[in-house]
Amino acid sequence: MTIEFLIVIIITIIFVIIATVEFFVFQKNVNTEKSLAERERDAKHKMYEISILNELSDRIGYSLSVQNVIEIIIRSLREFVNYTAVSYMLLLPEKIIFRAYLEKSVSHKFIDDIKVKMLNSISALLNVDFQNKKIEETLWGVASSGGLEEVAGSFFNIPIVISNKVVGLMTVADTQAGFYKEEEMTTLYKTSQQAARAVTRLQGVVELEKSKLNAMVASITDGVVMTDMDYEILVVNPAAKRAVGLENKNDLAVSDFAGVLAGKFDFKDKIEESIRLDKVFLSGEVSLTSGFFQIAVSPVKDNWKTLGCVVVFRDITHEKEVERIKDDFTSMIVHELRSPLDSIKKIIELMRSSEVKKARQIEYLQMIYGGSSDMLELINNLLDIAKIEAGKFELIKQPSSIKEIIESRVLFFNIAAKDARVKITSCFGKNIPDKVEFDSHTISQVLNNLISNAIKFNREDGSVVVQALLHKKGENIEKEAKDSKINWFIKKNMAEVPDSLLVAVTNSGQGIAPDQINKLFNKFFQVKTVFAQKGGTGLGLAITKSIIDSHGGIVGVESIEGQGATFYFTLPIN
Amino acid sequence: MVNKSKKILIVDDSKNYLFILSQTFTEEGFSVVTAENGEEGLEAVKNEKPDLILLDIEMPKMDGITMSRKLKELNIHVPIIFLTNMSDVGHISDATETAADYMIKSDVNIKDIVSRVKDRLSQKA
Repeated sequence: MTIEFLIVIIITIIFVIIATVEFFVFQKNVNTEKSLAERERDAKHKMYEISILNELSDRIGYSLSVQNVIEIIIRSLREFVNYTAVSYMLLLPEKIIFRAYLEKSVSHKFIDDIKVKMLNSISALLNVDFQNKKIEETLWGVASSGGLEEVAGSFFNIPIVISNKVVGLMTVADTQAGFYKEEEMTTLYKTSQQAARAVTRLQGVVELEKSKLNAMVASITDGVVMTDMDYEILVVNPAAKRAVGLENKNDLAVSDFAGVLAGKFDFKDKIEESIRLDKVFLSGEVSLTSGFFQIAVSPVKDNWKTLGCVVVFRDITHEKEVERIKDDFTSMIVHELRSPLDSIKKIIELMRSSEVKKARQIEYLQMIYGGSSDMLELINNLLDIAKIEAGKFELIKQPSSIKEIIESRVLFFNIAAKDARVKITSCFGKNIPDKVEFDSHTISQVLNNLISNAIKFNREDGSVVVQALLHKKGENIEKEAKDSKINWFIKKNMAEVPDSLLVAVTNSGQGIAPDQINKLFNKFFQVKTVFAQKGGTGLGLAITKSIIDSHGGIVGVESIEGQGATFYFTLPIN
Repeated sequence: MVNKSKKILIVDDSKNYLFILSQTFTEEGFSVVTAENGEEGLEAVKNEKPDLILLDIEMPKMDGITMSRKLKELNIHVPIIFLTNMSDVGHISDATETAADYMIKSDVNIKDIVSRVKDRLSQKA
């Protein structure tokens, strides 16, 4: 045995080595191929996941119903899983939807088998019996009586959970047994979970936005009604219900509104017109039992598409009331100016036409004088009010003597008082300071107004007393009056009122009813009452209030019906 | 033609106006009754039974239109001449069914009022 034998052995060893190496290389290749295949499959699974989620996100703009989600997942399923049939069940309140997609032709037995298995799964999941639920069934593919008489050999379920509720079940089944691998089931499971979670989150966002919108619309004080293109009411807020008097009705329809507005506003027609012509309509005043409204109708659009229509009810009852008061005020002024002017013209006509006796002439002249004075006073009052409202009413406060001013006014009104058969006097409390800071011209005007009213609204042989005292903060006003021997109707608690001059004009007229007192200092006081009968307009009181307000004082009136009244004001002492 | 003892009721819220008109008509030989608003006017019609009413429209408490309507309801048919300002004319035609007789205060003289009254009264006769 020699070199030949050695050479053979070496060559054999080399071959063995080569073979082993090749074997290992081969193995490695196989492994590589194997992991390649695996990787390919993993990649396929990932792509499936991604494509599903992509498609879902594409469709999020449209109505993303659970059923749509399931269909999306199922549609691409056959790309990476083999199956005989894939099916799903969706639980609705009144029925169960069952859909199956068949890849191969199967028998009805197969389908029934799947149905039973699915129902059992769901029952187990929810602990509920579904025996009596109606099942709406749809099949895609071929199911025949001549098909494979086989039942499901392999089969796995994926529950569908939205917002923590089980809403259905997805099932993949095959006639062959042992078909499904863990990775496939896991991928499908994960994808469904993620899709379901996306839908849940989306539903949450939609609910939140909806409730925000509802809260906002509910709190709007105008009535808001929104309809869709089919005249179904989408939104109606409490204010709208109140406007038409249907607060207690739920589920309002367009016909309810049309009924209430019949003859006043063409509800349905206006909505239709607004949408058709793409125009906004504003109605005139519409009178409803709850008040006056202005109704606006406008189409609602999302970029180019018309979604429906919105109707807004604006309550203009208050505005109308204010308008009416202003109109009354204006016509009152016109009347108060026109009347005296006409009389004056007629008087002059009389005086010119015939031989008028001297005594009669004097009477006529007095009437002309009276009429002219009344008109002049009204015009002056109007100008004052205009100035006050424009903020241009100026006060010149100087140290002035209230006693002097009151005494001069009493003197001035002596004649008028005598004509009216009324006695006018003044009464001063002790300790009234000689000089106090105020605008003597306007305070004179105030006294003129109060005194002339007191004389006018008095009875025969009645009295007018102009009173003044020094009020100290914290003191009881009735005590202060008593100490100064002043009689008036003031009972109000003035303890909080700071140190002031309190000036009052007390008359013995018929007094003022409590419900009238609030209106007195308002320039829009209902004039067709006391003032109109006795002449004058009541504007003077409004001006008086402005003047005293500007001085930082307060005005007021207290009265006992049948006995008389006291009009008073305060001038703070700085 | 005109019976001089006819009674005229004048209803107007302006004392001056009442004074002027009543002076005038008294001098023309009529007997005159006055009232200052619709309420007083109604009472005066019931108590005094005038032959004609000169009726102002804008008055407090009860205006002229309302008073004329109430007279109609009470079946009292006294001839009425409304005395009005321009702004009232519409109201008159709304309120009265028959053609209403009216005069626009600012457009007429006292003489015109007197002659209209006389015409109206002679129509009745």
